[in-house]
Amino acid sequence: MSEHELTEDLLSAYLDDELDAGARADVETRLAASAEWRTILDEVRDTRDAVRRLPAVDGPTEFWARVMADDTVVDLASERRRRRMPRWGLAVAGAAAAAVVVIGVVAVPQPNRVHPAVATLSDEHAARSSVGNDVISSLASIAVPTRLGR
Amino acid sequence: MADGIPTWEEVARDYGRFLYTVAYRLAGNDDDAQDLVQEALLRVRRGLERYEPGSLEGWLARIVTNLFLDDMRRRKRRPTSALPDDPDRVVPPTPAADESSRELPAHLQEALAALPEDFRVPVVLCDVADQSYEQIASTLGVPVGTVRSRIHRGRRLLRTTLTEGAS
Amino acid sequence: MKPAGMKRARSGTIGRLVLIAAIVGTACLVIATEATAGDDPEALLRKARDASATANVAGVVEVRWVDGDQVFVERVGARSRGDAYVVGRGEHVAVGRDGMRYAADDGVATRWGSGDQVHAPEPGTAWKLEIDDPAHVAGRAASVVSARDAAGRVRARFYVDRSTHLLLRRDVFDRSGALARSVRFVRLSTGAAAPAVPQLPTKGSQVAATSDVPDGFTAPDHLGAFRLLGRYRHPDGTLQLFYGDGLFSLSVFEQSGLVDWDAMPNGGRRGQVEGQRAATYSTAAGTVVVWGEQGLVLTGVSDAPTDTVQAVLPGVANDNQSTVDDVVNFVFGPFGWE
Repeated sequence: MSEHELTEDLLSAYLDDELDAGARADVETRLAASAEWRTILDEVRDTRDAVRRLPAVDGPTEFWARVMADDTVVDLASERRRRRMPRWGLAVAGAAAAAVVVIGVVAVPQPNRVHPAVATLSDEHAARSSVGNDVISSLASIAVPTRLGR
Repeated sequence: MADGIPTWEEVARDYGRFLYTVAYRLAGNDDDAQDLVQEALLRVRRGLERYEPGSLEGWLARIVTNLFLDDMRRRKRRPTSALPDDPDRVVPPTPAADESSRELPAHLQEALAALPEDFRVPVVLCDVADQSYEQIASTLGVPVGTVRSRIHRGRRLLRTTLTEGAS
Repeated sequence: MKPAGMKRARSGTIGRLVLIAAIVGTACLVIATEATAGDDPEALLRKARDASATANVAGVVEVRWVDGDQVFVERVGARSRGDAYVVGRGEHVAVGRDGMRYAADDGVATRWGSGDQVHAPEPGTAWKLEIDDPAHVAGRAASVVSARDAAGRVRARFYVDRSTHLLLRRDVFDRSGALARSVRFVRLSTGAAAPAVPQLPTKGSQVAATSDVPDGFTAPDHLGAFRLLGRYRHPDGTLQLFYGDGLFSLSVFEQSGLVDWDAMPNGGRRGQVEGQRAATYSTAAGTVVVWGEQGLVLTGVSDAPTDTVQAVLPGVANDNQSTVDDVVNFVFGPFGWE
């Protein structure tokens, strides 16, 4: 393992089997020689296993019922408002549940998705740069082909 | 499922628990987890036509993680501090020998929710969503070495939080 | 000159055209004072800037830039006389004329107007300038000006022709001192005939100077040492803010919406700006950083060293933030941006 420093950070990767053979061997050599590392490894293992033993979480039944209903898609904004209402408000809302609004996915306004034209904007900048600055060096960057990606 | 691509209903039915678990472990409460899951399922509905059969759980974990991180940024609206380089600044020195008990106290979820999200997210993706370091690196847009470091420091910080809470 | 096998990222039967008419006359034949070690480096760079406006040259320019572990090298022909400049040819031509820049893409010419009244800072405002040992570029004697950052590292060098004061070469270095980008003449002759200016398309749209900043958009007067020099509204609604620090320039493009990361070009290095996901590209023109914040898609483009660009970008969406004093608030992995 010549390209990486042997640091304690490797212990979790060692536990998770995310090291190559060389790094793994280096860590095991260090573990054999260092009680501190062995202690840390045990602690990290315990913590990791405890997190992994956390049970799966099911959402409330009514939540999934709303999500999975055939022609009902929950309006997120309304849902958030509903959850933040005080208890008396919930009673009123419960009474009106039968009149729940059916809103399609498309009713939720979606922001405009933009992907800047990197090459074009790069040239636009160079064009503006050439005004009041060195012209040829700025224009040269426009004249060469732009290459992005590998 | 056609051509290896599930329907939206299949995703919600078969992976809903997975989605909710990851969302809950990230957000730490039901309200936020429900918002994340609903938004994630909307994205799934829109994105299924572009989905290339592969690791569905990885794809779903990525969606809910990005939604969680976007939500965190919106809420904070303040700069993110650089992570400390020295692990000793995150984790106190090795506890005394009499604290050798390997049993962790309860309230693990609270301790997890208290982790800074830069540590919590990779720990959850690794230990709850069962993602590889490479998948996590791809989701977060950071190198694998960063993932390795954050997972380890996150676990150590979690351990410290739990043992200090117990004492 | 287009090397074999190169392909252009943008489609279009007509390359970008930028047209300038330049009349050199006897201006460039005025005997130039030989630069010596005692010369003021700022004065030398100002002379280079002035000389650029009236250059009468023909030659070949080499553009070299680094993108990660790849080095790109391209050569193009360049001709100028008076206020007319033609760099490249065929589909890959940049042309300037009459103080205006024309950019054509897919047959549509964009007439670029400056309209700026704000002057750029002096070259030595943000950088410590000093005269280095003279050198030769394209067989011509040159005075050399180096620019150092606050840490004393040389981040740029400018090679100015001793006879004509034309800028012969400019290099930009990263923090480790490695060359990040370079533009230089490899062949040069003066007293050239006027360049043949390509026929410009008649249809066109204009990038208009504007003082209007739409709601939700932002236009800080300063980004670090960069001063806002102009605002432009592109035909598609994009707002461009143009900044200068005396040596380098920076554009910030603003578009309303969210970044469609799935549609972004490959090759961007991932990082963050102000806690927001960002992608960095390296082009011949400089560093390009794309990120999204507060409903805006932001694109920063600059020929300044990459870390300089990174340090000021967080100030774009935080108008009331002092970017000079603030800690650089972005998260990066162990490999950083460079």
